[in-house]
Amino acid sequence: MEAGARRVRLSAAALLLSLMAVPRAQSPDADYIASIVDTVRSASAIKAVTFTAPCWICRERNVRARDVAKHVRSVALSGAAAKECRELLLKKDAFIPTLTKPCPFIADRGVELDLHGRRVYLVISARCQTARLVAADRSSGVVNIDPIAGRLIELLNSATRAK
Amino acid sequence: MTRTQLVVVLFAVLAGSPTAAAGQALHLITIADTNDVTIGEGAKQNSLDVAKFVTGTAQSLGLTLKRTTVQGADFKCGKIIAALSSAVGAIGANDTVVFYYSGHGFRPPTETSAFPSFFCALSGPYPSLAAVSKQLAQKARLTIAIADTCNVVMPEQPAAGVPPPPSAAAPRTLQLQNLFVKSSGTLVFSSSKPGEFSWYLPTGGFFTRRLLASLDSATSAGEPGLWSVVDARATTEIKIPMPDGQKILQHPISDLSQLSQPKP
Repeated sequence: MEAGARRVRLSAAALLLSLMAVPRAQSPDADYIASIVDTVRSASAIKAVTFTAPCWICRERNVRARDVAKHVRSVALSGAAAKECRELLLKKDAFIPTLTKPCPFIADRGVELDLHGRRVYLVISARCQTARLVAADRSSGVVNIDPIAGRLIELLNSATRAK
Repeated sequence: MTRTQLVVVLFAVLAGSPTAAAGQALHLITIADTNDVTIGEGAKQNSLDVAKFVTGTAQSLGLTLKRTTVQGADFKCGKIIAALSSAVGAIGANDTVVFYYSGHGFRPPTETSAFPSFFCALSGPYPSLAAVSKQLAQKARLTIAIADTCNVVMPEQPAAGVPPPPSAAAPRTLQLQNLFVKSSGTLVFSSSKPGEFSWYLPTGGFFTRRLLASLDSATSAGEPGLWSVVDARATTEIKIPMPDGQKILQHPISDLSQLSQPKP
């Protein structure tokens, strides 16, 4: 009887622990935004990226960094521009969660983030003011960057024009 | 009471007083990019909400409802064009057609109309709202063409919420008749003006919710039931709330120039 009660108590404790281990539900956008912010924060260098042609593959569900790399030209940003670019992407409310735009994501700009030798791209559709993160093994969903799009695109344009 | 329950109540009340419209059909053509990872959820809800409204209208007016739906894996330009051709073949001269599109949209650089085109594949041909409304109007007495989509210029591919129910059923039938039976011609709605985005929530597009709410209020007791009234309410600017407290504006547009409606 006592052993049975102990088993019940242990099962209840295991159930409680397993429930605590379940991650708190959040919207996919929140995950995407968090992964972008984490990546930007960890990046050792930031470059501007220009596409040789509008990037239609950038809208594909399983696009990877190697696919993007074939279509881009990376351009170094000045120290001040790189700092501002990083600040923009880390700005509170830089991204708009939950809301979506029925605007086809065709990237034409981007940011290359160097994660200690690994290249990750934040590909951007200037027309839609949206972006998605493309890494070696994953790509995020599309997120809205309206609050920072104007200045960010201006920075990227001036860097790529200057070269 | 849930939305669904309210709609059921509406149907039940209206079913008792069908308005004779012998031989007339109400065609509903919904095209929705429900599988899209970004907007699929909102597009699905939009399509459901519009279908609920139009189905209720057909039942209350005693019209035969003919449905054409393209969504999910079928959401492809070729299938949309084929479905439209097939639907056009079934339209009678005295029929009403409601065409509704919810999916990604854009403006080709050469587009001359104010209305968007549908982004339904990586390479076209991309149907446009203007062309679709013209195609349908060739056969129907009344064509209502609606798109809740973006309207910003894109390059061509290189090389390769349900409205709240009415409070009174009888007047609503009269107003619905004015809108869907006694009006004729073509009516086109786009959720945003050229160069502008449209915005969705997972529960549907801001414009679709506004349009359905406008249809509901314009068919309530004491209202004349006119498209001009629906238009005036549905196309006022929409303020999209941003996380930082700012508001982005969305301006729906319409064309009623080819519409003939009853005198109030």
